[in-house]
Amino acid sequence: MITGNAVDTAELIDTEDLAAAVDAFLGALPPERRWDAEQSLDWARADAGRLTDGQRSAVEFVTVIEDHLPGYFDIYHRSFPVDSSVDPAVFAHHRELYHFTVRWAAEEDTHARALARYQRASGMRERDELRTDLAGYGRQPFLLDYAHPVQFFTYALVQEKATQIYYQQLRADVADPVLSDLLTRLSRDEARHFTFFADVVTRYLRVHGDRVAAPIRDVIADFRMPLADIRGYWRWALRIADVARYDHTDAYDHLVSVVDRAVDHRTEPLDELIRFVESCRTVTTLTEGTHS
Amino acid sequence: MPAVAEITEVVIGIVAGELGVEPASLAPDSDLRAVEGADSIRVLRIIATIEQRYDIELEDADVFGVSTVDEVVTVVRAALDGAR
Repeated sequence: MITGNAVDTAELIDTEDLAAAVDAFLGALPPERRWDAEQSLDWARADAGRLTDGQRSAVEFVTVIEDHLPGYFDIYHRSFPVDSSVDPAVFAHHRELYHFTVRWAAEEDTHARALARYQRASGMRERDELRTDLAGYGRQPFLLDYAHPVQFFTYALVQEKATQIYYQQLRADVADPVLSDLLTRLSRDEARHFTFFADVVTRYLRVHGDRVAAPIRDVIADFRMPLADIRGYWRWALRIADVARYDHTDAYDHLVSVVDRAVDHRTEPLDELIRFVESCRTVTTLTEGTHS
Repeated sequence: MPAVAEITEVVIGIVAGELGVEPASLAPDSDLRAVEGADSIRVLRIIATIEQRYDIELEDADVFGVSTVDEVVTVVRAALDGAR
């Protein structure tokens, strides 16, 4: 399903500014610290028998989320096209972003592959059954109908931080050391991804100031987790929240910090943005049985 | 099928229990999200508990569309009617 359009190129930051963020991201992970789903984990020791039913459900849930990568990647390809539909200057900007996008996608694909392999190696699922199950979810469209480029980076900032927080909290409770090792790797990767998106949003704030307050606000106002449109998603999300706190609004504090650090002086539009983001935080602690 | 009053009493009891408020403080026109202590996750927990209580599965549009106790009762009755 083809949806969404290329972003408003008049609102892009300079190519050099973006390239600095991409350079920082690509330089943040030296080759010796990279990992893969094939060699880096001790799959022979994976044992889902050491997990609770809720933890197994959580692993299935995050596998579905990570496995939706083709949908996420497609969003960038359509919104920041690297082809003749854009003029050479815009192409140059998008080509720089593409350096990030392909590395990010490779890492996210490793996450999906590693989580699926964990399910097989630990005895949770057979490969064919899992593949069929994931195809059912994977075919669902992923939509981000944004016009301003900063909106894509803001959405990803929240999503990456929320995912990182969830992996950390899930890891704190699991008894299988292989899953613990995997969650550590996932969490570290998501933290680097968050740093990139935070860096880019910061640059947009410094370049455009008040003008990006409204587009950022709109992202938060309409925020929905990936696959949230799937029927009954909320029931699964509730069960997941019982295993380890899973609340994307946990990431909003980090967005507020990014805005705070990006500007020397708060203006009224930015003040209003921060008030709004803070008002969207889940204000109460969760109910019994939920870790926080 | 249970009567409206009976379902209303059950729904109010579940809302009160989940949010830690007195049942007497709730009325059929009470907005769930406006009750002190409510947030989106707690409201979903309330709906999940009501589903378990009546062994029904509500449509997502209903789950995210209801605001008041009355509206919850209406969709529960519709689900029970559909299950007959």
